[in-house]
Amino acid sequence: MLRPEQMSKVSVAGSQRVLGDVIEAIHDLELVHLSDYDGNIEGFDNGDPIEGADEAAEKLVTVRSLKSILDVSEADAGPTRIVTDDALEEELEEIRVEANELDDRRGELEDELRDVEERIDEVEPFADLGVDLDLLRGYDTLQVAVGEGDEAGVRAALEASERVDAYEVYAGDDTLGVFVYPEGDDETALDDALVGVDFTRIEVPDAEDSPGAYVEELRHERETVESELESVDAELEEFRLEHAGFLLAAEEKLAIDVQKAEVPLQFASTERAFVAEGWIPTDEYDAFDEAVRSSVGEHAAVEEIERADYEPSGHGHHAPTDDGSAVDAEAATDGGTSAEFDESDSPPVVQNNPGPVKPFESLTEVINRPKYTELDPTVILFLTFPAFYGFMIGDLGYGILYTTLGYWLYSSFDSDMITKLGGVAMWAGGFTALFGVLYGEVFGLHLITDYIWEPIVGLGDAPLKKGLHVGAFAELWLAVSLVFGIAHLTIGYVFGLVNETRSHGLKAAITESGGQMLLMLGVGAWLFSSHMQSDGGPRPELLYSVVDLVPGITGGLPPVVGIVGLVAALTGLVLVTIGEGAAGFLESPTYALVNTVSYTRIAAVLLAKAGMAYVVNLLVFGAYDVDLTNEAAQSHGYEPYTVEYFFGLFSTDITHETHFMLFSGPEAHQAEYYSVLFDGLIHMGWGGVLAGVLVLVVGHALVLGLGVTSAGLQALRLEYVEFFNKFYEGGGEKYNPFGYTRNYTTED
Amino acid sequence: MPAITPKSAAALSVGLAALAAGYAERGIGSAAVGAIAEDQDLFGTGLILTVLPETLVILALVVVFVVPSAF
Repeated sequence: MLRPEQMSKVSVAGSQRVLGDVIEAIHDLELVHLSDYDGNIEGFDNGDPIEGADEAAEKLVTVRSLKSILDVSEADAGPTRIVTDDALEEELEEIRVEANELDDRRGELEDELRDVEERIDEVEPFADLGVDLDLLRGYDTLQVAVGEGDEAGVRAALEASERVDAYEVYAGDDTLGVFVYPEGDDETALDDALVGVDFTRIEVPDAEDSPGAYVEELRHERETVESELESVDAELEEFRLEHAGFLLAAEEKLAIDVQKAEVPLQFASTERAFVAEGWIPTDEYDAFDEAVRSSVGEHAAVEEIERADYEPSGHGHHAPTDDGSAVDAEAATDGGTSAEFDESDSPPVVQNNPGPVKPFESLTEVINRPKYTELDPTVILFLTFPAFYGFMIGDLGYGILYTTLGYWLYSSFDSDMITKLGGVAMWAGGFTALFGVLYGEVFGLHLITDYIWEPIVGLGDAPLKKGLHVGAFAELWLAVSLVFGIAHLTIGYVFGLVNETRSHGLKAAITESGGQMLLMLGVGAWLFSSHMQSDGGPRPELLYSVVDLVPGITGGLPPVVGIVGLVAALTGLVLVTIGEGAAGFLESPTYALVNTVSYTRIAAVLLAKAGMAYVVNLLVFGAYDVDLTNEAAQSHGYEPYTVEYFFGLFSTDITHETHFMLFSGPEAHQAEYYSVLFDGLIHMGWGGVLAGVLVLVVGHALVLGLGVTSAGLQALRLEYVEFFNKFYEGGGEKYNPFGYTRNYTTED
Repeated sequence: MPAITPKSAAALSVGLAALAAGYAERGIGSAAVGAIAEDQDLFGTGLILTVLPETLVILALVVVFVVPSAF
């Protein structure tokens, strides 16, 4: 649970003759995470790809390009099929020829269309101008310019130019035609006159017709090309539907062929023999041995070289296998030298958690996969995250919605990540509902309190309160959050101690994790003790509310606990300073208190969420407050009373009560001892009821959504920042077994 | 008579701390999103770095409770 699945390093050695069969067997098994041979053993080179690898890779490229030409997607897959080499050869060629032809035709038509459109763009301004094209060019003495620009500006410029003898400007909607008769033989008169005026020149195209008729002709041509293009597209679509299934299957088959053909690159090979090494889960070794033997009999030697130990250790210290038949790794692979198959080889990590904990692996992976030698904190996430979340939201209605949402994510998506997220949401929702029952709330209304806890169980109120109306609870939850923090952090430090001891020895573990833990626990103990607390002391009294829950303790832990705590904290400070030097000393306040205090966000979010739900309900239903100490109220049967919460552990006096007006409107609560906080939309006529329903739905949807981002993210932050930082490194290698999960093809 | 009551001072301290935390997260958040765009695996690290300044608000909240007349 705290460890990943145990991995064994296995090797297969055999003659090149059985190479293909061995690869088949391993590939079908899909269990071996192959190590890369790094070429350091004398006499052994990296193997060559099996014959046909290039050819298969080439075909794979063809298939993929066809897929992209035809725009084939996974949704087009037909039933799974067998793709034989012959079929691949012939059918692929046919499809390629036809698809390329269609694609070429489409390309040509697209070019043609672009060409026509360009010409239309060119001539359109002249159609707008209304002057025949042959009248715009070919003059000896006249200078002509056509373009887009500011007519008044052009006229003014021509008027002002001394080199222009006479001019005429024709204007269409957007286009200007400028004719100029220059003074003498001045060839640049028009050009110079137009410098500095807002005028963009357009070349006059080479055509004889009237531009209007020409544009008409071009538009007709465009329509023809467009309809041809449509018919080619339709043909391509039909072609795609016909062959998509085959292409997907062919791609899969070829990908598998290439994968198998290229895998010898990872093997150590001589001319006649090969050695492959890889990791498999230890439990699967027998299946692996069996599979290779049944495939090639005694022509290949299968061995379990080592069982990866959870102790981090330098290279070369391989633990012997369980049965005592320790096999020397070096001897097995290279027959005597000390070179290794793969110098930087570490076992891949398969997290090994029981079913209910599995979904939380996704949360661990957000940070990183644990290293093989590291404790896997997923189970602690499972134990704390939903509890934190449920405690903060605590509402049966929201809890059921979260669970439903989680189930939907869990059941209707293929992605592993989303499925796991759904699992996490279901757990979080479950705890939200559980705490909701304890708080007696459904969508912020105290329905469970009113209909179950008070009349059926016979309690004075729900067993727990959020603290919005019973202030004592707000203070209690703040103090409780600190205790949660101390407990959670202690687990983190213990993990840190274990990890550090394994990787850097006991001394490093004690001066780093141990010192920090002593500092945190010492300051924590002092905080809850009554040391130095005479005459009001440095601590707010509310801290004691949580220790007073323990039977037999009132007014905090005894001073002696505080003194012991201070001594422990000082010891911790010394250890931290030894372990981490000045940086550790400077950071000591963080270790001592800041991390712990960070957990008060739990109480803060609890209150904030309760407040938001309360406001929504207040707007919709309205509420009134009763002053129980008021004499008039007492004559109507109200009285201050004491409630035993926590099933008797914690009691507090109630002098005010707030009730939502679910069934009776504000007119029923006009007596002087009532104070109506808000009349409630549903008591304001039909318009009010409509607005009320809207506010109710939108408001609670908002609280539900913000619950994910506030409670969810805050709880995650506590896990990632406060908890994980105490011990977690991560960086384990992903288990990626040699094989292929077939989607579109079958083998027989 | 002080210029502001203890309760308003407490509210101000939490509000200002929240403002500061938000300002700090603004820069970290945009940098984190940039990093995640480059490499999806940095999501976890980005998340951690982004939420770090939030502790400021929590510490301000504690101050409110340590100054007794504020609550």
